[in-house]
Amino acid sequence: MMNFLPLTESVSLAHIVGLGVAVFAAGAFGFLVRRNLIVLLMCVELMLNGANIVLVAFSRAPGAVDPQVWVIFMFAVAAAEAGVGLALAVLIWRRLGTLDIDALKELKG
Amino acid sequence: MKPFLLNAAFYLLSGAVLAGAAGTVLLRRPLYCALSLLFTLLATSGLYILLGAELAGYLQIIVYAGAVMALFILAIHMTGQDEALKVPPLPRLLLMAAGAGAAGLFALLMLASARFFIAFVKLAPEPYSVAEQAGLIFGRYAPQFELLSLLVLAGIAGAVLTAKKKL
Amino acid sequence: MEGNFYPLLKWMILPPLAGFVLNGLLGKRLLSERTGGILGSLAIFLSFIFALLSVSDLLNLPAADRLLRDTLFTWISAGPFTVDFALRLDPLSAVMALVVTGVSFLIHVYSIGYMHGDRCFHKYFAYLNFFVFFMLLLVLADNPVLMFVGWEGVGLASYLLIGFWYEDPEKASAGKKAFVTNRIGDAGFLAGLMLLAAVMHAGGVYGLDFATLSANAQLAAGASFAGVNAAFLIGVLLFVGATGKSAQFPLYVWLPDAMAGPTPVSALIHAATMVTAGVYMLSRMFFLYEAAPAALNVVLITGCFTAFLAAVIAVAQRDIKKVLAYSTVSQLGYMFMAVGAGAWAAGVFHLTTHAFFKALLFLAAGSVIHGLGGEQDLFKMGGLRKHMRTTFILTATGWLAISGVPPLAGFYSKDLILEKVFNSGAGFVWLTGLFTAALTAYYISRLLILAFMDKYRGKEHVHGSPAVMTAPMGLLAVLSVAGGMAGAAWLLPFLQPGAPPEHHSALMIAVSVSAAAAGIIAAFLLVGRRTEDLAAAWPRFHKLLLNKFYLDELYEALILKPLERFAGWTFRVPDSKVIDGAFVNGTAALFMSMGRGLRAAQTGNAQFYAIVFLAGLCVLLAAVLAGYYL
Repeated sequence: MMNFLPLTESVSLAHIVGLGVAVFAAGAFGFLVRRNLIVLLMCVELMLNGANIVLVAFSRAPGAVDPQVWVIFMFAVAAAEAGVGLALAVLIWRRLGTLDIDALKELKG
Repeated sequence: MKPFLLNAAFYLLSGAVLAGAAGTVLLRRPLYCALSLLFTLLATSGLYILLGAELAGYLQIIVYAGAVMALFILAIHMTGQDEALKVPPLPRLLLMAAGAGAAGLFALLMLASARFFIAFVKLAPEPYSVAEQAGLIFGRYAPQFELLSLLVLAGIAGAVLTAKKKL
Repeated sequence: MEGNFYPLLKWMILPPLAGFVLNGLLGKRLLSERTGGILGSLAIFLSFIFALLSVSDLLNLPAADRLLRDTLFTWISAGPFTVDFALRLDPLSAVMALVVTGVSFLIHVYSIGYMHGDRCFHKYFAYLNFFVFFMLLLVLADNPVLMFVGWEGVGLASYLLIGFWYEDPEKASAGKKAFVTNRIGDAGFLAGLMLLAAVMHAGGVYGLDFATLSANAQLAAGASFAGVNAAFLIGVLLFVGATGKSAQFPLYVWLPDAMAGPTPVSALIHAATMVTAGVYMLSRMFFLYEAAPAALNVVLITGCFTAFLAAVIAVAQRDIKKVLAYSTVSQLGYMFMAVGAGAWAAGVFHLTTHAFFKALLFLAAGSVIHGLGGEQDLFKMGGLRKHMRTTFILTATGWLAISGVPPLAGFYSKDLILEKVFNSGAGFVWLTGLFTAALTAYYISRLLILAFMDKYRGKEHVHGSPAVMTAPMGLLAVLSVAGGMAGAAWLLPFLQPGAPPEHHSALMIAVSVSAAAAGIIAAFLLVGRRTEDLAAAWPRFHKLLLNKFYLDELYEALILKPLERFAGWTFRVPDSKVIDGAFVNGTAALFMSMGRGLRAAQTGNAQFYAIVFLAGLCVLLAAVLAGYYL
């Protein structure tokens, strides 16, 4: 099932996928614990990045090269999402004077 | 290139990515988080190039590390977050729950992709041909590409309209 | 299917229905009083004409084959079980139809005068036509289910008409009492009907028209239900229905209260037609009673007891209409005695003559009440012989007829019943019947004396009645005089062709006439000063009679009060607490609390939502992986 080789041998798919998933998990963890809205958005970018790494890994595995194309699509999506998210952050800053996520609780109840 | 160097490069770049990720998540000042994220993205780009995905690697630098991070840093300065903020400590329960969740996610995702792990990856191989990728973009995935342009347009319009002071 | 097809039958029932619709919908707005009254009376007159035509056609048929039928449409069709909306005319229903339409027409004309000036004049005529429609449906129905439709319809009409002046709560309550008491009887009727249908179906017979039932009556005699012979049980249950509708003991209590309605209504429904429906029904279903003679004994005893009890109560009543009401109950008892003795034709004969003279007496009472401006207490009347000559003569005719004085109608029918009862061997019943006849003569003479003789004891200005009221009474008087002789000669052979000719014992005749004479003489001797002395001598007995043996109060205490308490309890506990509280309010409270609980999940905190999202994602992944690896 899993193949962990010593450092001198070749790198297996597991290593790269593990890296990607770790970055993703780190981003998820960060999203859950940080309070600053902009840092939250940065963690989202981290998660997307982690997904990209996994995609590139699988494109390297024997098979088609399609995942790499999807990575390029992901770039565009992430950029658009970051743009809109930050615009909203700026708007919130202007409205509320703070970027603390706990201040945004109008949906409570 | 000798395999040993390539492996070392791989592990070095992976370490950089992980360090940068940790930095983004853990640093106090938002500006430092942004810089850490920039570092992560650059390291990731290097990783892509090492794996032969050159188009992805260079595009990562241009789009992600270049445009997106510039936007983040601009936003940080616009909203006055470039100084350290007084942040109260988070409740332990929340941290533990988040940590458990992230760890669980990690485990599950690894398990999910476990059956592919018998494959080995060749480092620094022949880079993929851009022509082949272009053929895919404009051929098989042409509809998705067009939708993507729509998405970007929507993003632009949304961002501009949302953040303008006067309509 | 036996019987000749005769399409004219439905035209007998359609005019009253049309009259009901027209007077009901258009009456008050479009028609004048005169037009409304004429419309209602004309409708019945049309029915009467059609009835005459039908009967004449019936007579043209040979005696053994007199049956005309008409099926309008199939009403119920459930597999092999079908019930048609079918009408039949045979001698029995012919007699009933003629009586109903004829007497009804006279009473409609009378009502034009009696109800003059009433606020709801057209509604009254609409209801009367409604009643006649259902009564005709009842007597012309070809199967007991359709008959039950008519049965219920006349019950409803009775309720509507008794409580006609509904603004008076007492009158409205009387209507309600009539309907509810009727309903109790109807429960018995329905039970009997269902049992009959079940027995028939068990034997493979699926048609319920009277011809089929009468041919298969032995199926009921052969079956048994809960250990009791089915024919006996059905007979008794159907008789319970008749008890309710025809005011026999113990369900007679509604009839005296029904006098709250307008007097023509009392004359039509509670003397001549509706209350006789029970007698008609028993005669119609007599084939069943032939198969279970024990049920006939029940009918006989009940009829006898009722006749006697009602006559005794009538002796002491003060209200003129109440005397007549109890008299009706008593005479109905006679009819049931006849059926119980096996002579249903004699019962129907008495039904006919009773319709004539009782309607006459009621209409005369109405005339008196109308002339005195609403007074109904006998002790406030008197001497009307001088003030209301015509009414006096007419009442005297009815008096002689009901007392059984020959050669008026009542003598023939009552004497025939007493003879039949005697011949069937029930000696004690006959004796009671004889004594009741004497009582009948007594109380009706008492009514005549108190109302018309001596001097006027009241204070009102007395005025006579218009011709529109006296003319119908006159016709009824003629029928009361001549009806008996005609009936004895023609009616009985018509109803039962092939029966051996009657053989009357002169001794029997002498005995019943002497009973009538004794009653009349006793009344003339006692009524007035002497009865006051008698009442003073036995005050408790007199009080008992005056208050109808407190039977109403007994019913109230034994049945009504417990029911009310039970109803109150069911309102408080099962209705309010269980259904309202647990089911309705409880369900609402459950959902409210669920909502409150689920609200806790809406913290408004984005990261909380993210954690939940993550947890859900992990669970899903785990599930998929478990499915894949395990």
